[in-house]
Amino acid sequence: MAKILIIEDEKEHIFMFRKRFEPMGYDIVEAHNGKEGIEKVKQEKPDLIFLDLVMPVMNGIEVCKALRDDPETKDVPIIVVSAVGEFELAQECLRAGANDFVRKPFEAKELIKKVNKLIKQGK
Amino acid sequence: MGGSLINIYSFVHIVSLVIYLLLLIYILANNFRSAINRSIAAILFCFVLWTFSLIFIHNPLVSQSTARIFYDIGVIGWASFGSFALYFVLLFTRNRRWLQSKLLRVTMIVWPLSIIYSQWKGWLAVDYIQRSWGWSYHWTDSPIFFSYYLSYLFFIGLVIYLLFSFSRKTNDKTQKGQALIIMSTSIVPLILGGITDVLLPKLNIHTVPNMAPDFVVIWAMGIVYAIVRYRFLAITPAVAADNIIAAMPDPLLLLDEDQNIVFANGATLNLLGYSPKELQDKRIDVVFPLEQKEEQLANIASKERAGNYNLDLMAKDGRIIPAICSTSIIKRSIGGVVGTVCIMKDMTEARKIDIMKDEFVTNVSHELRTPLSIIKEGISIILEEIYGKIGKEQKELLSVSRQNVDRLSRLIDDLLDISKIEAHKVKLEIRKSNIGDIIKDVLSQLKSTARERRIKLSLGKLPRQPVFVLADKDKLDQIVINLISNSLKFTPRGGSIKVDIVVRENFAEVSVADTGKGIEEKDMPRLFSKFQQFGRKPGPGAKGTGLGLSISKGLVEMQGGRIWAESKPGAGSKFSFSIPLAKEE
Repeated sequence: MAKILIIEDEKEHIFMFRKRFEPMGYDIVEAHNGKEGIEKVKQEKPDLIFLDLVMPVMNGIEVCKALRDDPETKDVPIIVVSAVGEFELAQECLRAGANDFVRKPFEAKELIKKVNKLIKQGK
Repeated sequence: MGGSLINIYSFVHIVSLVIYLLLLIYILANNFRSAINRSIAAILFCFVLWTFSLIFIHNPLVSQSTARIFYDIGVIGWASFGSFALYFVLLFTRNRRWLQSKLLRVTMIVWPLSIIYSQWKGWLAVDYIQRSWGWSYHWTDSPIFFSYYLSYLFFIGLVIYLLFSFSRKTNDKTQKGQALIIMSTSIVPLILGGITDVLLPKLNIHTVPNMAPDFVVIWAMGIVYAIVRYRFLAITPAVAADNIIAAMPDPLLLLDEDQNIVFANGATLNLLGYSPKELQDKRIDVVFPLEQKEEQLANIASKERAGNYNLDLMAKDGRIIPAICSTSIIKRSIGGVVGTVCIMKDMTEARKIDIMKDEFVTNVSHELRTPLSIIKEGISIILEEIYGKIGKEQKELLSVSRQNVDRLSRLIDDLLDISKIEAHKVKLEIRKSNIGDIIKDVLSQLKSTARERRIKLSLGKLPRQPVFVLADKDKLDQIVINLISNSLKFTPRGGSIKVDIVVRENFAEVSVADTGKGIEEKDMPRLFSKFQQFGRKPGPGAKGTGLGLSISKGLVEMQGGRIWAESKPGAGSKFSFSIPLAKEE
């Protein structure tokens, strides 16, 4: 069963992700800030990460860079899911090592497509 | 001589009196409202009284008692003019502190009144004797006379000192000139008047009568000359301009053709820490940061491009100050450029506010999108029946809700876009791109939406050669999507939308023509303004935000193009924009 780690400070967002992805058979684990997120990546070894950008302690871009710099976590696929809508920021995320960028509010169909593609690539 | 009605001295006094009267009328007629003019008029009136009395005193036919009456009239003039002269000088030198001093005001009133009173009482001039030219007197030896004499000298000395120090302090060349004229014309009357009116009577020499008021004519004319020459009593454009420049809160620099500073106003000290004198004769680039010197100099030097531009200034202490520089060129009347006027406006606060506004807009859009995303996901999960079937009515209600969440998030995007466009904060990545390919991509994105609405969306015949434009691809996408989405909104089922590309001169023109209801003539001028949704009867499409066209306009113009619309009610609409072609290599 594929495991998705959600690094996100909004509890309701995590709730919605769970409601959508658990019935699809995904195992969902959560972290509520960037620092906790990095620890959870090492601990849980997820197949995919949903990463928010605006978070306390460590923001998404910092998390992205830290994960990519660590040989243990450098290959975990990351989808940045953020309400920050600027095009320039999406570019910055991709440069920092994210695999994809999805803007909130998103079309679930598109997100699912991206999740499937990245998990398939990982296997 | 004894028998003639008037002698030479009384004749001279009459001439002086006439001159004073004429000057008095002139000065009041020149500007009755000006306090300076009125103070000069008061001085002149004193001289009128003084000379008027001497006409009779210096007349051998007048009796002693009559002469005494005129003495008592004359003293009003010569005792008072010192106070009025001081008042005038305080006004002229704008000495507010002294003008408001109660002690000085009381002194200026009490002092002449006490002289007048002493003269009337016979404590000052005594021993009236009839000479061949009229009545003479003798100053008493009492301490009273000496104290008046000293205070008189002090008063006159004070007036001259104030004028002198003002002429040294002021930077205003006009006022400096005026002060010098008023000062220098007082010297001769002071010396000659001192001899005839104080020294000779004191030494008991009575071969000539008192002539001080006749010498003072020189001084009165000096003031008038200052008025005529510099017209400081009336505001003239030149004087007003000088004052405006001096009082301006923004630094103003006058540059010659080689960008040397010819003149700087006082505001440079506040903003840049340089006094006007320090800047004079330096090159303008002393106020530019090192790394920007070349570029800024080129900006200032481009004579054709008078206007406003943003730049950074460097203060004396090295601080960098964001500013707007407005330049205009000074031309000779016979043609040719003499130099440049450069006004610097401090933009530190404005920039801070700009940054705050940007952050605010970004934050608000983030904060709005977060709950919208949660609402949308919740609705979607129910609609997708992941947790069980729902009825037709529920489905319809939730669909409408979700559509409106989308509408709200589009509005947020558009607001963010328009605020960036208006703040000139849009970053463009201008590249050479094939416009045909861009439009084909957009059409394939929108094809399914058009099909759902039974609208035929097609691309017209493209030019034979691929058309390359210089543009930001993403922004171009956004413009074309906006225009086609607009047409989709207003075209009824069964209608059609056709996109065409033509090349005209140095531009590629893209047009989107639909078979919708068209736009009323009266609505055309406001078509590209913000929040305008009118005229075109909506089709089955989603509701818009009223910002699409004004965003498109902003984006097109930013890339050097133009956008326009043609429409007739009932005959559809055609929206077109142009974008510069990439030059062939």
